[in-house]
Amino acid sequence: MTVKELVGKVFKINPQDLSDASSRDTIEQWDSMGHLALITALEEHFQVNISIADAMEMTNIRKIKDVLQEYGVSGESYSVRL
Amino acid sequence: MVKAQYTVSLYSSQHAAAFQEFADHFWPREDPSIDNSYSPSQVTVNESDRIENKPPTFLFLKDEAVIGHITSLPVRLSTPSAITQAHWVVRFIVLPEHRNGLVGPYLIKKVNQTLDLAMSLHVEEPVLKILKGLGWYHVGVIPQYVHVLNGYRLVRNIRAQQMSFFNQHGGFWGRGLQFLASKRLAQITMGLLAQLAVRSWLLATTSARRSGRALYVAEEHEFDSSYDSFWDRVGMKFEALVVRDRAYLQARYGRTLKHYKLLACREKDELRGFFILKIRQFQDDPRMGWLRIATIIDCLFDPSHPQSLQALLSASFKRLTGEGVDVIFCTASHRAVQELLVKNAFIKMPGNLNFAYHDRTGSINKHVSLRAWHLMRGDSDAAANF
Repeated sequence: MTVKELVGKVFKINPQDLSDASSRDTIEQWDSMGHLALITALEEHFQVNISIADAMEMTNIRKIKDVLQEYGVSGESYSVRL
Repeated sequence: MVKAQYTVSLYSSQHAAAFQEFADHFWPREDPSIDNSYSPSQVTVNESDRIENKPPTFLFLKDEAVIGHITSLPVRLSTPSAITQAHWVVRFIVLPEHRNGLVGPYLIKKVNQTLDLAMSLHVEEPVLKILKGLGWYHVGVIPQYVHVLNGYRLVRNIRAQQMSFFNQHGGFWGRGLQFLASKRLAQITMGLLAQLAVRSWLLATTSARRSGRALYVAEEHEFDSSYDSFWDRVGMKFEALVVRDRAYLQARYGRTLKHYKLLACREKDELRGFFILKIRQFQDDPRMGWLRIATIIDCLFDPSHPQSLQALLSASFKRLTGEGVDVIFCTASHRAVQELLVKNAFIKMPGNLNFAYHDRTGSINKHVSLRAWHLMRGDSDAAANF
């Protein structure tokens, strides 16, 4: 599952409607709890423990990808862990 | 580029300077309208050495600056089976530029990890969403009641601020009402009609309010030992409430009792109930004009003999009228208080005070309805602005 697909799943949006610029300013459901749900989903899916500082940085899809790269999760596509 | 450091911490003396800056921004110490009487968060740098003994205060820090804050007020929760340590969670504040983000949820997560039994009375919908999202149980919205003592002054004060709504949305009748409210004769007539309606209602329910007992009500200025005896007699008769013994009352109101009115109802010197009233004079407020408003912010009574409530309310009417109060408000969850208010011509209004809790102890029975809880604005710090 890609980051876009995961964001789409959390916020119940078609991933095709998302871009790297999609952010909490453009996604209505991305409020306080939406952001926390997204961080939790990212942690569970990619098996990482995201620090508060990094979570705070994740304010759009581009930044989410950048932070994930720092955690060793790289590339546009990610496989689902079994 | 160096990343900012974000942390959620419990307050300690090392945060004193940053906290003081944050506190000064939100609670200017010179503002007399803000009731800081029961806030452990109101800490000055000089007091920082003593903070370790205070109840937990939670800070969200960006580098060295405080950008989010919650503090707690320790109380004891009484249920028929036990008395349990609990905390009110109060003063949940996030800097405007960090709202709608993770600051609030991370603070509440820390509260959930730290406090065994946390409770909240709050009005903001986003707060409720965060609490519910992080496992808090929302018991409900506490109803609010209003009683008009001076109809003329009420109509006169609300006309300019509130009636503009009718002009935009009320059509012909709305414009007509606004026109009438702008005329002095109509103000007097509407005020008198409101007064007449209230008096008629009170007269019609007089027989129901006579108790036949020798109850008398007087203003008192301290919580003596009879308040402990009274709590011992009645506390366990409630299904759920914060312990209101002498120590609690002294800590909650004692230091600033001059800002409140304590009315006590006694029968042969034995305490039967009390009201705590707060009077606020608005000054050209956009919503309240120049109204003088009283709020019944706290009370205790014997739920199996609630006659003392009627005696206290009747005495409150007399005293507050004498003090030029125009309107009385009361936010109350308990069914006995609600029934009393309706009998005495209080009008039920939509409430805005949400009650929620997070209980890791299993002390609270979720089947206890909001009407069985005894909660008022004096609980927590919900009376601070009203």
